[in-house]
This record gives sequence, C-alpha cells and structure tokens, in this order.
Amino acid sequence: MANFGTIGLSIAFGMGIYSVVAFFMFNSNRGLKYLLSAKNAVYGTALFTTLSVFAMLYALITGDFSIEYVTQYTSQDLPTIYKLTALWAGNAGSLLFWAWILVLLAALVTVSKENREYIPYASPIMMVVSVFFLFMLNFVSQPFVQLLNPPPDGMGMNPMLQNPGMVIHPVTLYLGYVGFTVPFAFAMAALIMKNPGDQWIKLTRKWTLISWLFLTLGNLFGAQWAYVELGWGGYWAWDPVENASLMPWLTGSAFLHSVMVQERKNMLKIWNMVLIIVTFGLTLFGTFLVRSGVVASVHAFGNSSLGAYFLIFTSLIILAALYLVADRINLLRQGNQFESYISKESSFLLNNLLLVGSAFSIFWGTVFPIVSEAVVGQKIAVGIPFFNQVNAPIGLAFTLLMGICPLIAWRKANFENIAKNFLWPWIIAIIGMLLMVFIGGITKPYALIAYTICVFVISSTLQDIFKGVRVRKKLTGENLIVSLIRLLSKNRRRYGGYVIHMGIVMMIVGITGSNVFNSEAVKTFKPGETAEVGGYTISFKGLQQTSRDNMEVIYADLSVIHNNNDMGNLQVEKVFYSTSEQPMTEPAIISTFKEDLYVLLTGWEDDGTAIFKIHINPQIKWLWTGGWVIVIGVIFALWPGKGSGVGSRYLGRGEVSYGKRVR
Amino acid sequence: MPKKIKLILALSVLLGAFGYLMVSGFNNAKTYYMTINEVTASADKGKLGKQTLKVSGKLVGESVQWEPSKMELRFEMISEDQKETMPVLYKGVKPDNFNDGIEVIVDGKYTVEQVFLADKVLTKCPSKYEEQQ
Repeated sequence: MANFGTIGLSIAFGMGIYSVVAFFMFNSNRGLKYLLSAKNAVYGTALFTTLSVFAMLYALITGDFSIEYVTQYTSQDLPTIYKLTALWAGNAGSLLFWAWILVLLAALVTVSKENREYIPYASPIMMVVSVFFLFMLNFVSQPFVQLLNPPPDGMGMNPMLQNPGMVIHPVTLYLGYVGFTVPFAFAMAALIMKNPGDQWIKLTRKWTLISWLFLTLGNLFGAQWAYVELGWGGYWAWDPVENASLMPWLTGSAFLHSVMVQERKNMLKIWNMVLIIVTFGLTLFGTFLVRSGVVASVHAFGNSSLGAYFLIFTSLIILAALYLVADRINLLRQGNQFESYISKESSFLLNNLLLVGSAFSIFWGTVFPIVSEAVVGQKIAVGIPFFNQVNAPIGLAFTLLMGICPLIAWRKANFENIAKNFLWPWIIAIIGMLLMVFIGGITKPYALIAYTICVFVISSTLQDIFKGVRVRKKLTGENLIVSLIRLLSKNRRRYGGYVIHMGIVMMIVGITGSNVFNSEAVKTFKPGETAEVGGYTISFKGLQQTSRDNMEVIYADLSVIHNNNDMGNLQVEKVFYSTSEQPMTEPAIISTFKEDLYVLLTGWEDDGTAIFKIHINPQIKWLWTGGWVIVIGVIFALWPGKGSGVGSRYLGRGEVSYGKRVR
Repeated sequence: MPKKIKLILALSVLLGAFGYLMVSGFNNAKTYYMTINEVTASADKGKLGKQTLKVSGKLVGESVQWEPSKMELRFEMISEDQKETMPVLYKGVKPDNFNDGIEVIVDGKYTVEQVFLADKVLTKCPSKYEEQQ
C-alpha cells in the first residue's frame, strides 16, 4: 500500500507539472492538441491523487502499522470512523487531504463547459497551487514513510480529536479554504485575458458562495468542538489558529458583497481583485500559521519546516498576483464612479471597510508577538481583551448596516426616502428596547445596544419583504401566501441573502448573550447532596467508574430540576485514555434557547465528595442555530433554475423586480 | 462642500475611530512574554510595575498544593536552567495533566509579595497533534 501511494503521488506530481506546461504551450499558439493534452493531465492528476488517498484510507482502516503515519495517529482499538478521520489528524495526512480536494476542484472546473474561455488560464493557475501541494507531499512531508520495524500497535489518536466535531470541522474548513482558489484563479485568468468585466465573478459566484458557506460552517463547527470538548466553558478564545480561519471569512464576506457592486454598477474592480487576492492569500497564510509553530497556540500542529515553504509560496503567488493587477490597472480603472455618498454602493463600501478593518485588527493582533520580537527584541502579545474591544463595536456597526444596506437605493438615495423607509423599523426597535429594559430587566448597555440593533435589522428586513408582497399582490391579484412564495422564489438571490442575514443576526444574539450574561460557579457536593445554582436545582447521586472502548471513565450522575421541570440526568465525565497520560474532562450540557447549563467534573476526594464547575451560558444555541439558517439561505439562493440570477441593474427602491435580467 | 473634502472627512472619522479602538485595545491587553529569570531580575530592580506578564517554565511537582474547597492552587515553576523558581497562586481549577516537569504557561501579574498571581494557567501537552519527534 505504501509503495502504491508513493508512486501515485509522484505520478500526480509529474502530471500536474506537465499540465501547466501544456497549457502554456497552448496559450503560446502551439495548437489545440496541447489544450486537450493539458486537460487530460489535469484529470490524470486528480485520478492519481485520489488513488493515493484511497491507499492511505485503506492503510488506516486495515491498521497497516508499517506506515509511520498510521502508527502515529491510530491504534487497533480506535473506532473505525476515527481511523478514517485520522487522514486529517496529522500534518502529512491533512496536506494530502487538502491536495486531494484541490485537484478534484481543478478537474471539476476544467471539465465544465461554461468555463470554456477561461480554462486555458484558470486551470493552470489552480494546477500551480496543486503542484505546490504535491511537491510538499513528495519531498517535504511524505505521508507514506515506512517503518523498518513495524510495531504491533499504533500510538492512537489524541483523545481530543475523538469527537464528532473533529470529524466534520476540518473537512468543512478545508473545503472553504480550498474553494477560494477557484475565484482567485478566475480573477487572475480575467486579468491575463484583459477581460476585467464581471464575467469571472458570474462564473465563480456559486463557487465563492459555497466556499464561504463551508468556511462559515468550518468556523462554527470548530467553535462548537472547542465548546463541547475543551471544557473551559467558552467557544472562542482568539487563538492564532482560530484567527487564521476567521480572517479569510471576513475578507471573503467583504468580497461577496463588493462583487455585487461590480455586477450591478461596473465599479470597484481594483478593490475586488485585491479582496480576492487577500482572501486567497489568507487561506494559505492560515496554513502557514498553523503548521509553522511561529506563534504559540494551544492547538497548532507541532513545529515543522512546512511553514517556511508555505510562507515562500504564499509570498510568491501574492506578489505575482499583485504585479498582474498593477500591470492591468488601466483596464481596471475604467468604469463608473460613485454618484452619491448615500447609496447602496457606498453602504456596501462601508460594510467592506468594516469587514476588512476587523480582519486587519485580527491579523495585527495575531502576528504582533512576531513583529515585536523582530523589531524591539521583546515578545509582546495582545490578549483577548484587545480582540474583543476592537471587534465588538465593528461587529455592531456591521450588523446595523445589514439592516440598512439592502434597503437603500442604488446610485442615489435621499434622506427623505431613507427616513420614510426606516421609520417603522426604528419605532419597533425602540419599543423593543424599552420592553427589554422594563420587562426583561436588561440594563447592560452593550447587550441592550446589540439586541436593539438586531430587532432593527429583523424588522427592516421583514418590512422590505412585506412591501414587495404588497406591490406584487396589487399587480397580479394573487393572494397573500401565493404572492409571498412567488416573490421570494423569483428573487432567490436577494431573499436568500436576507435569510443569511437573519442567520447572522441569530449568531450576533448568541454571541452577545453568551459573552455579556455568562456566569460560573464552583460547587462541592457530598454524595446525595442537593444545591441550587443559577435557578437549577442540582442533586449529586455519587461517583461511578466504568470502562468502555479504549478508556476508563470516572463519572458523576446529576439530576437537574429547573422551574419545577425535570431536565433529566446529566452524566459528567473525566475520561482516562489508555493511549494518553492526560485525562479529559468531558462537560455535560443541557441546552435550550434561553441558556446552556454546562457542568464539568473538576475533581473529587477520597470520601466521595466531588467538585463541579458550573457555567450558565445564555443563548449559545442561537449561535449554532444561526449557522443552520445560513445553510438554508445559501441553498435557497443557489438552487438552480429561475430566480437565482442577478436582479436588474440600477434597481431603485420601491420598484420590485421579478427576477428578470434586464441586460 | 466639494465631494472630495466630504470623502476625506468621512474617511478620517472612520480611520480615527478605528485607530482609537486599536490603540486603546492594545494598551489594555498587551502582555509581555518573560522567562522566570527575567521576571525575578526585573522584580529586584522594581521595573515590573503592574504589567501583565506571560511566563513559561516547568512545573515542580512536589510544590503543588490544591485545595478544591477553596478553589485555590499553589505551585512553583522552575526556569529552564533550573536556577530560579517562582511561586504561583491561582484561584481556579487544577488542570488535568498537572504532573511534574510539564511545561506551564501562566498569565497574570507579579506581586510585591513575590508571588505570581495568575489569571490563567495553561499546560502544554507534550503530544498535541504531532507526536514528539
């Protein structure tokens, strides 16, 4: 198997290089045969990489401990699902996985008929990136290294990675990372072809949106994994590795919005180019951060030489891309100018500045220890308060814009119209705020501002839908429901966007609640004792010990009563894995939309007394649910067929488009 | 007002607000990485003041005193060269893998009583994602 995999990777590497060369030959007018041959080489690269991945999966499942990687990350008693996911548990395997997704995407892009014009340029760019990964797999971080004396059993997987969240989190994140290579390659192709219009944006829209969705989910699954597995009661710690995946999400979100301005108004071309280059660069930079060990992180991969290669490759490709932009700058300059400062396009630009500003602050905070050590010789880090203090106000301003942006007109809006349009949403938001203060008893200013903004965004979005329905009803004579369904389904791109916004609002609610109102307590229980914590009546029955699969478990049974409702039993565990010295504290969670009860077993004494740490984390469920709402929104917007296209250009407020493309 | 001036004004307001956030956030959250030797040396000269520090060292196993009922953890850390030790007080839960010789990173302040008052205690697990090589 090991030889099979190694040979597969070398053939894939060779074919990858050949495809780039053959595309180059075709582009220098050496004939059509080179194009066909180049395309075939792309498919061949994909095929042989796939075979290598299968070889690795086969070795992992069958427990072929003659392969070092298999020995390092699995053991015989590991459940099968984690044997499979060991593919991305270590450096070499996750690079293989990454390369695999990348070459599959390259093949998909190359085979697609609608990309015909762009293939000779976009495919080789994707292949250059693929060749880099295949180079790493062949020469730097080889997954199929064999051991001279195979051990009878492997070392097992890190217990923290044995969690469903770790099955899905890396996959979604990598799909998101890799996916952004497609719009990047098309953007570069457009520049090479001197075709700076919006064609590349239209062709890659679905790729961009799907990649963005996976990046969103990757971040969320990661946060959820940290929450249920790391046992510190939170889900986001501004760790360098977390920041590495948030930064491309922020710039990618900015890109998704600013391309709309280019599609509708033929402007912001340079900005869009720079945004996609930066986003693509950040996906590679994230890999560099995670693999190089240059920043101290709780959950980075170990130190390795991979970082240097990534840094060099990223710098080269970004420099080449920026050179291309500079060279074609006159082409990109053509187009429209801003006509008014109060218009949809200017509000989009503001949204972009906020997102990019946020990404910049996170970048700065993440690399600051490296910079300060290089410049003043003293390593200075910035803690969590820095990130919160900078990003909370930016986040709120950005949420507020989400309520304003979709509703103001393209080109030129005026204050009277805006005042009229936003009268009701503001009245509702202020009523909501008063209710929260006098009935809900919320007095913390940050929370109050955040919730009020959320109410505003929801009501302004609903108002817009309602207005559209009313106009449609009048024009067509349909009843309310039919008219609502037809309105939404014929402008799916627009209303899908609204659904995504609602998902983001839910996430903002969750983030606000869990950060502002969280509380924690430490309680010592004797067996049979009952205590009241944060409105929950918790009874401790006693400690038990059991063994299952590859671990020993000490657990406590707790029964929980809240507001006279029996919330059931909680089993709080401390798990000792046979393959690891370090025990794992597994939290038990009762989750509702109001709050999470999050209990950890922190220790015990000889007489059976147990010590628990109990967190009350309000509204966290809103965060996860918001993520699923975003999934629905993206699917709604992208579902093939009528209504997923761009709306008419220069759509004014009050006119309702029925999804016809006016071109 | 001409368009250009308006634009410059709006942008400077934005940039100013952003800069203010960055600078004030930075001053509230900066943490100095130090070794135990540096901490004791600077403390002798009275240079530490109220700065937040991030100090790493090895755990001295036999120094660990953990009182679960008070949620109070006391331990000593020793420098890489085994020359200096530093006592630490942490009001919180004892980490899972708190064994002798493990690498510990503490965030907090060094007090005049020559005890490090930690807000956060992190233990570096020797086998995170990659095995030791």
